[in-house]
This record gives sequence, C-alpha cells and structure tokens, in this order.
Amino acid sequence: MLFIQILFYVFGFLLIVSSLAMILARNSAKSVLFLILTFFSAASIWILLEAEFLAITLILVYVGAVMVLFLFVIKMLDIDKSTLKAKFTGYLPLGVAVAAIVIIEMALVLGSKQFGLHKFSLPERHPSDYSNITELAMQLYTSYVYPFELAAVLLLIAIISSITLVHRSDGKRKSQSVSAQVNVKAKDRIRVVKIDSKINGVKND
Amino acid sequence: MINNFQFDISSLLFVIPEIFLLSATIAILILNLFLTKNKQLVYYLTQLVLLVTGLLCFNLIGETKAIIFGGSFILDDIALIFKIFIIASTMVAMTYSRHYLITHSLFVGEYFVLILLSLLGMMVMVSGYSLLTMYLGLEILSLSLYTLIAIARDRTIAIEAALKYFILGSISSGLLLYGMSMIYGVTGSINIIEIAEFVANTGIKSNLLVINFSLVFLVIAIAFKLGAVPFHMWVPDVYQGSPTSVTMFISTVPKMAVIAILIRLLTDGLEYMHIYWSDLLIVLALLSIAIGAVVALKQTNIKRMLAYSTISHIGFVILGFVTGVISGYAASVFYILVYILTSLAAFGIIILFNKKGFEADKIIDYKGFSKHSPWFALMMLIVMLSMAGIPPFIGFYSKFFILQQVVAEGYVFVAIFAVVFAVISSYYYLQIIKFMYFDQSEKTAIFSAPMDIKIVVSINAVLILIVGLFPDFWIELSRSLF
Repeated sequence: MLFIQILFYVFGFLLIVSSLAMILARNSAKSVLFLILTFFSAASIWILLEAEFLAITLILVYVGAVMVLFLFVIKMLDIDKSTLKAKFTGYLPLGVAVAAIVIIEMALVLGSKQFGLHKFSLPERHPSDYSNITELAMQLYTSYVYPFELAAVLLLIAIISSITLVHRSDGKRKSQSVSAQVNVKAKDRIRVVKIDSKINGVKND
Repeated sequence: MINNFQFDISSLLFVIPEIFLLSATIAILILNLFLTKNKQLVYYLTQLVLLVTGLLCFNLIGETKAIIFGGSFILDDIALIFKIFIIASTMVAMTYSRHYLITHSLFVGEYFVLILLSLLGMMVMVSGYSLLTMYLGLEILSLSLYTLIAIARDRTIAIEAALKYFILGSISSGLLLYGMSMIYGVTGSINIIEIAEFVANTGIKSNLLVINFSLVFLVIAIAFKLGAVPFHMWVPDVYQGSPTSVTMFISTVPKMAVIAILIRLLTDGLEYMHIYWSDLLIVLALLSIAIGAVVALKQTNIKRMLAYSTISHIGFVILGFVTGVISGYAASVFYILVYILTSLAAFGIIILFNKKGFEADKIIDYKGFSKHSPWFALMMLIVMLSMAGIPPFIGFYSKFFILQQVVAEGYVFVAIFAVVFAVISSYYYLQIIKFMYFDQSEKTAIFSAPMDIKIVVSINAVLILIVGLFPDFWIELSRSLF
C-alpha cells in the first residue's frame, strides 16, 4: 500500500507543478510540453486507480495526436507576446486574490473530512483477470447507449461547425487552376517596358 | 445503476421524435451538398421535419411516465409539452428568419442543420434525467449556437459576440460539470431519482456541506445559461452582435430548455435542499429584475434593450421557483411560455422592418412607424404593452400569477420590490410606443418581406391579446404539468 501512496504523491505533485508551469511558461511551445507532462501524470494516477483503458486513451489520443497538432498550430501562428502580457500585471493582484479565496474555500469544504475513508469505504481491488475494456464496452453499449450516441452528435456538430466557419464558397476560395498554369505563355508573364532614362527629371550624374 | 447491462429495445419507442429528428437532419445535411441552385428546398424540408417531429411528440401524449436508458431519459408531461412548445416556437422563428437570411446573404444549408441540431440538444435537455444527458444536451445546444452566431463571419461584431459567448459559455459548462462531479462524489450516482433518494434518506445531514457547495456551482451555471444577473454580462453583447434571426432564436427557445433542467435538478433532484437554493435564487431574481429594468433605460439599440428586458423577465421566472411550491413552479412555466410568445412577436416585427443593407436595430428607427404602416405599429403596440405587463394583454397575467404565488408564500417585500421595478421598466416599452405614434420621421420604410411572415407575425401578436383575454387554457396546462 505504501508504495502506491508514494507513487500517488509523486504523480500528484508532478501534475500540479507541470500544470502551473504550463500557465506560467513564457514560450507557448514550452506550455504545450508542460501540458503533455500534465497529461502523463494524470494518466499515471488513473492507472493507480485501475482505469488502464482511460489512461492509455489519454496518452494515445491527447498526447499522441492532439498535442502534436497543438504544437503545429502554435508554430504556425504568429503570437504577439506583448499584447498577451499587456494587461496581465494589471489584473494580477485581483486574480491572485480571487484564486486564493477560492482555494481556501475549496480546501475548507473538500478536505478528507468530507471524502475521507470514514465516509466512503475503500473500493475493492479487482482480480487480475478483470478486463477494464470489456466492462467499459458492456456499459457503453447497454446502459449508456443514449449518452454515447449524444456524444457522437456532439462530434458531428463540431465537424459541421468548423467546416461552416472556415469553408469559403467557390467564388471566394483561392485555388490553383492547373490548365491556366499549363497554358500560360511567356508574354503573359513578362512585360518588357522601355524607359527613357532622361525623362522624369532624373539625371545620371 | 438501475438496470445493469440491460437494454430494452422497446424503450426506443419513447425516443422516436429524437431519432427521427437526428436522421432527418443528417439527410438534410447530405442533400444540401447536392443542392447548388435551389436552396429554398432546404428551408421547406426543415419546416417539414419540425412539423413531423412535433406530431411524433404529440402522438406520445397520454403515455404513462417512463424513465428509460438506465434512468437517463424521462418522458413525462413536462418533457412532452416543453418539446412541443420548443418545436412550435422554432417553426415560428424559422418562418421569420427566412427572408432576413436571404436579404443578408446568410441563407446557407448549414444554418438550418445547426438549428435542427440545437433543437435536438434542447429536446435532450428537456428529457434529461441524469446529470450526464443534461450536460450533453446543453453542450449540443451551446455548440450549435456559437456557430450560428459566427455564421455571419464577415461582421466583426458577430465574431466578437460568438467568441464572448463561447469563452463564457465554456467557463459556465466547466462550473456545471464541477458541481455535478461533487454531487456524484457524494451520492455516487448521476441519476436524478437516485440523487433525490440519497438526499431524502441519508445524505442531507452528514453531507450537507458538499451538497451545498455543489449546489452553488449548479445554480451559477444555470443562471449563466439563463442570463440572470450577476451572470448576464454576455447577454447584451451577444444579442446585439448576432444576426437578428439568431438573436430571436437565442432569446426565446433555449430559455425553456434551461428552465426544464432547473426543474429537474433543483425541484426534482435536490427538492430537500429547497431552503438552501431558494436563498440563492432570490438574490438572482431580485438583481435580474432591478438591473434589467434600470440599465435598459439608457439603451439606444433595440436588440440591447430587449436583452435587458429578457434579463428582467428571467428574474420573474426565477422568482416563481423561489416559492418552492408547485403552484409557484406552474406560474414560472406559464411566464416562460408567455415570454417566448411575446418575444417572438417582438423580434418578428424587428425582422419585418429589416431591409437589404439595413438593420432596424436603433430605437429611433421606429419614429413615425405608425404613419407608414399602421397595422404593424399596432402589433408592436400590443407586444410592448404585454411586455410592460398592462392588462388585458397576456404579459399582465404572467406577472400577476408570479406575484400572487410570491405573496402567498410570505415574500411580501420581494413582491413589492419586483412591482416597483416592473413599473420602472415599463418606461422603455412605452418609449417605443411614443416613438411610433407621436414622433415624425422623414424616412418611409417599405417592407420587402413576403406575405407569410406578415401573416404569422400578425397571428402571433393577436394571440398575445386573445390569450390575454382567455388565459384559462394555458394556466391549466402549466398547472397540469406538476
């Protein structure tokens, strides 16, 4: 038991530190890297909770795919740091004060007093032949089939929305016309203009 | 878990409207790709889909109350009546929107698909009986709305409104989820029935602190979605920035779906916590009524003015829930139905007044309105008097029933406060009437809108008068729900 507890505190500490570092990092690429560390720590904690499938999905989907896309986007965008930081210090005292109050309140309410072992018994460990994925699939396609379908609708909306907002109709879209490129003649591209150097009042002294 | 590993195929019978709506929406989405010329067909198909979905819901009336899909879906009178009203008001809103969309070159197939999908989200919310489905419905609705606002992507003001709504909406969704996770942490269930049982039997003493804590988050999220003060900051900007047809949609139909969530969460799930949540709601209600009335006085844009008017109306709706008795909830439902009817008519007339390249969104645009179109000025007069709560229009009765219930439960000072601010708010409704009837304007507006909109607006506005004269049916309807 003790070893698992040590692991939990290590990953928990890493999670908090890396999420703080993600917000405070000056370089947005570094923020993404810290976010990846955050995801890793969260995934490790999930494994300690015997939620292997979720942990693996988090790493495969978020770290493997989404974060790589994030890095691409950040490298392609030209983010102006000064405008981002301009109002930061002005709002800092207020933000810190509000955050401190919220943290204190949450610490008062959500301590081990409310969620400790005296209120909730320790969940039983599953046997070694227990399959997380089978259990999840059974639940998803029976009891939770309705929310599962709704989540699919949500993804459909995300696709429709992003295409609607970015797609330009034919007239406005900038695209290559291959036939025009092939048929182009030299005289279409180069215009030879003879300029008399004496005119326009410019003297070649 | 109510029934572990069970899926009853017959339970699909209760979700036929939703299944039909989703399938038809996807069909329209695909069909839209192949329609290059005749986009009007998409509009007519949308109306047809709405009609059929409404009839399918109507067909389910009289079924006994059913809770299916492991407790995540409920079919009862509230769900059915709310769904039918939501569909009907969406149909009216679509009728008003068509001409506006054409003249402002926003008539794209995706608009209608997104409206249908947001409708699906609202139907899910109304029927949601577990925290998970409520949240999913809310997200389906919100995501569609964000895109609908930004669909006018050449207008910076619309993009700004969409971004504001998106960011603040995401924060409120986060708060909602946080509150829900706390409820789950304490009760160990996401089903409203089981939460209610837990709170009633075991939980309330030993877990009072955490349930109260999560309650604050839930109420804040609901207040945000309704646009109640102090979570109203997004309302005026979003109303002003959105295309008027989208403003009309946002300001009417979704409010009803959020009210349904409020009924399920607070009055069903956390009924025993009433003394705690009524304190929260009373603050929201009074602030909304006051701020909505006072700030609207200074507005020059009619969409912003109606935004503050919405805030004030939402205050009254919340006030009905403060009472904690069934007749109070019924008064609130009645109020929201009346609000939607009136608000649809108001936006219908604003849209009617729109022309190509001209958004009739300044209040002074309505100067001399009665000279060049006396009939629609009369309709606007009915709408404004109803909103101000002057008898015999329906807006009077809706305010009256709320205040009656509030006084009956002993909140006399609250009622006096609400009445005083209702009187103050009547100033800006009457100001529009003054502009329409007593001021001169050199501009003459010519309506380019087609006949169907004019007819529906007229019916809508006359309905405000007729229902105001014979309100019994609607009152009985909203009483029968609880």
